[in-house]
Amino acid sequence: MLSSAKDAGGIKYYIVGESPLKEELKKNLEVQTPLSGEFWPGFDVSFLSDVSEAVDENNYAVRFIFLAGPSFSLPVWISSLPSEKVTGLSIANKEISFLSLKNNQLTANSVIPLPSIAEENDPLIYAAIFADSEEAYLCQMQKVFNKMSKIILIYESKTTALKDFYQKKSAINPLDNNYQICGNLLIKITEGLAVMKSNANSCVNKLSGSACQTLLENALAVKEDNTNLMQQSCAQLY
Amino acid sequence: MEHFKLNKKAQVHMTETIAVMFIFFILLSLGIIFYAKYSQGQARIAEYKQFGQKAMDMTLQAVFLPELICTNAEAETGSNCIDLQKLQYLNSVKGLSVEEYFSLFSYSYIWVEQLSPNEIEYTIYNNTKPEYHEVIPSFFVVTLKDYLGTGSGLSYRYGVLHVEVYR
Repeated sequence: MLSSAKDAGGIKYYIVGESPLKEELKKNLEVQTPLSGEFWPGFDVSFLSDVSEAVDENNYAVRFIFLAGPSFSLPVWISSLPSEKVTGLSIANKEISFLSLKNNQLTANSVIPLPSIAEENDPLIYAAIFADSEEAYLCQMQKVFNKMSKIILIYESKTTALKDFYQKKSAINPLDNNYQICGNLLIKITEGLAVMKSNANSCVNKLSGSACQTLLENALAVKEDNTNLMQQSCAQLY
Repeated sequence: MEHFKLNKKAQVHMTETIAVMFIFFILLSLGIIFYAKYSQGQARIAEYKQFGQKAMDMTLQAVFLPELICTNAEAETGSNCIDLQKLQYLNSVKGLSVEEYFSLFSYSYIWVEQLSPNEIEYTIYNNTKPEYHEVIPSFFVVTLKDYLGTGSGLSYRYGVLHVEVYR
């Protein structure tokens, strides 16, 4: 009885161009997610080599995602859609641009650097793909980094508690070298978390700053120190 | 005389029609009232079910909150286990920020009651509704992982995670 989003002509995503990201998107967007089912069939995505391959499927709205720079020549049938129903996104060189239709051409509003926060399946790319607009994306990013800085406070507090614990133990048992090693590793983590918090706070105000580009690096450094804690049989941060 | 008789007969008919219509409208009104009451009851049941489901979802979200759950590097997370050090920090800042977590926990009060070795309460999220219609309480027994215990450090306590959802 209920028609699927595809039948009803929901948002169609055309992913255009060749890039290493294409395979990752294919893997994650084409498969049925746990949410897929009778009421939601999954994302309506087509992967194209060139934008001219896009065919009109009578969709409510279309979004072109360019993986190798934007293409300005859109298929003719696009002109039959209201301009607000045709949007685009260009993802290249760790930068994204939200594109809007003006005079039957997709034009970039502004270039936004893509902060890197994960080694693979970077969630911020998916956030950009599904964001309604540039404003919505930037607003959500503010919330994301604000929450990140709050979560870092939880980890900072735990690190401080563990560090104090090991330093006290080390003072009581100066011959046990392990307490000192754990304490020193935790001091390093405290410093790493402080840098990470400061970078996350910078991202709340300005996504384009260099601080946002080093967040993944900061997280990996903390991860390495946490592994060292485990190897030294110390209490771990996470 | 003939005219008078006919007029009287018409009047009787008219009275009959009015009486029938009166009874019809009374029955119709009763039907509408009963149906309205029934619909109201059904709507209340549906609303209550929905609220119950929401309360259960919130409780599960609180039990598996990544900010608090026990972790062990890349290994699988422990079930029904809360990191005591993180919990103590949250309690010291009066719980999670309502502004950030309202979409997740809405109007609710979530706290952990440590039962052993001593009784302590830790607030995780506190946003009670001043004027509420209903509150659904639920609880889960949880382990509290304490990294700063006696001896080598690691020890476990136990307590109860309480979730009260307000409507």
